[in-house]
Amino acid sequence: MLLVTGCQTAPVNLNLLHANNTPIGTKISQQCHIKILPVNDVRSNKETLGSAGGVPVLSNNVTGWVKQGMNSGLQQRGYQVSERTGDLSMQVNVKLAYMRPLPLRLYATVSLEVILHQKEKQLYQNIFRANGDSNNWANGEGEIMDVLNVALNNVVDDVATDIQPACSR
Amino acid sequence: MKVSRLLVLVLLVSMVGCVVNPTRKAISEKEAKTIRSTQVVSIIAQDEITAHVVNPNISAAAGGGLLVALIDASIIESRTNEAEGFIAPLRQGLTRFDFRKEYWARQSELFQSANWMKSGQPKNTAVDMSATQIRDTVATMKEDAFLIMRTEYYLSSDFKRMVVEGYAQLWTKGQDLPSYAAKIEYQSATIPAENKQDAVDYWNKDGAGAALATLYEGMDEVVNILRVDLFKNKGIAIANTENRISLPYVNPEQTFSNSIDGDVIMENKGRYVIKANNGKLLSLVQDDSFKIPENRASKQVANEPVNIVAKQDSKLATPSSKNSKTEEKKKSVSKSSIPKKPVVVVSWAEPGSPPRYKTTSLDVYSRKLSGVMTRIIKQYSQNDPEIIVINGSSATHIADEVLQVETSKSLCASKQARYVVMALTGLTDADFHGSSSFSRKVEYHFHDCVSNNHRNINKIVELGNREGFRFEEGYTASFSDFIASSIFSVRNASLK
Repeated sequence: MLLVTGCQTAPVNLNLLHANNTPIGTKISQQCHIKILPVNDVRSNKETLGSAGGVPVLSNNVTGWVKQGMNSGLQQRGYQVSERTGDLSMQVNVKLAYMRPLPLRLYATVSLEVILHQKEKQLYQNIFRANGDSNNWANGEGEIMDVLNVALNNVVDDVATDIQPACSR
Repeated sequence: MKVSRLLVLVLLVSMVGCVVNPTRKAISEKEAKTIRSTQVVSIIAQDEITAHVVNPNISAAAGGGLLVALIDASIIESRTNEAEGFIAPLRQGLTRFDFRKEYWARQSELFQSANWMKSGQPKNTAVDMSATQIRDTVATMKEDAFLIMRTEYYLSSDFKRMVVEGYAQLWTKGQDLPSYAAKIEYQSATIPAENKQDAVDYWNKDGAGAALATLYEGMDEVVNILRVDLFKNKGIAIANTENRISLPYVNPEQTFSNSIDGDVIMENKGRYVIKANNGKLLSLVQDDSFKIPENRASKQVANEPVNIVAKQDSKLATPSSKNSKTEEKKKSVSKSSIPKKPVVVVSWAEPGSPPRYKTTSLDVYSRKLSGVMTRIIKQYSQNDPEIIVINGSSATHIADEVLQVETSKSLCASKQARYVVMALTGLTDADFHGSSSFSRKVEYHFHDCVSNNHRNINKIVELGNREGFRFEEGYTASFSDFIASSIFSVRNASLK
């Protein structure tokens, strides 16, 4: 695998934009308000989002993309998300976000740590991890963005389901 | 729709104009002396563990063509999707493990030590460099040399081995091609697992303890070989030694032949580093797929003390009282030409496999049933002073049979094998001795290399089939045991 190297062209510079491109699971009616704090990037690899066709995929907006995804995703799933005050504050740490191209499919993995606080008290903490996959036509930027969004949306889906009890307290 | 996607893939593959880099290139002493400073970049592009997927290479075997390329692509997709499914729990288990951090810490320690290249600390990065970037760096750098170390880790295609692979290349200022290249490949011992699910469970149990321990060992080994080859030996050519080996081998990558041919250059705690003829520096531990004969003398190679004394696997070392009488008999008829210590080489067919081509088939074959063969080795080879080769074939392609016959002959001729057992396509005794009258019927043969006694053992197989071992559908463990015990009955009878 390592013997064929140096064949790539310029890296892909991805403008990460969240899109709701997966079906939303059961909508949860939640009365509690969640404030999502600025997202932390704790990835061991902060340089790339994987590679496509031997080319590194780069982006400098991972935290913004994740926050966008959490905001939009939780709202769509019935949570009241607010930038100002909330019954709960949510801290999100990005642990992993990368995609890998396979011959005919693209795979992506996103892992987030989610911590919920009520005032100063930590109510909840969990690490989520989800994959996404989609067709790989040409390792195109749109396809890469698409598969990363699928993985992020799948994580958000899991988060929305898992934090229900904490939100209901 | 799917065909269109396959077409796109095929076109993409055909358009890739990647540089195929040398596996091994030694720097000349003269060139090494010109290096007084070195810039180092260490690249680990992968974020999580992967699994190797075997390229069926049907297109290469068929001489190319779009149709067969499509078949290749389709098979790769299917295998990759399967591997992705199986490996997911292991990735979950290794969530808290940071390969980059651990590997770079080890490498950093190495580069901190004084070295002839006067290298600074590596720049550690996940971003790979293109050929253009490397060329630009080499052209404009202040240092005399530029060293890139790329590292990967993955599971073998059957998930039974962990591989850590490092690829080092060094350019001297202004040169287009690297002056030094070394591909270092650590392979773990084969784990006991019947299938991929078993294997993942094994790696993942107790907080992925087995996977972590193996990865740590792999990292240490790759860094250590780099230390010896580049730092200590200055990357200068390793002379061929008298410790040459040519052993059948189950290769997890399945990308080269079914044997390791090369020089044993280092030994440490039962692990051997072999400079393979294809240039790789392979670090292997003796297990079911690879054993170095014990009768090799210690050699001094490339400034590195080498102790080529194979250790008896403790699992195989327990004497069997059942075999003790046989042992005595064997001693009485032993031939001086037979090696005194055992090496058991096993290769068996994968039934129902698609036709295979050229000489890679044995690798492909021998993988699936290594677990079964392990049982045979353990049961029948303990303290056996002979070398046993068990070959098999799914009888789907004549080329395989030719290859196996040639391999078997060669092993007999080189006195590496005492017995050869083959499941072949209609091979007769005459075939083994040079004829080529193949039919499409599967026959089983037992050959005693020393006495040159060859016999058809189809009756044993027929008996097995009658006993319900369902040979055509697969070699079950019990069937293999049955065959093995029959073989050894024949063997023992021949020794009386």
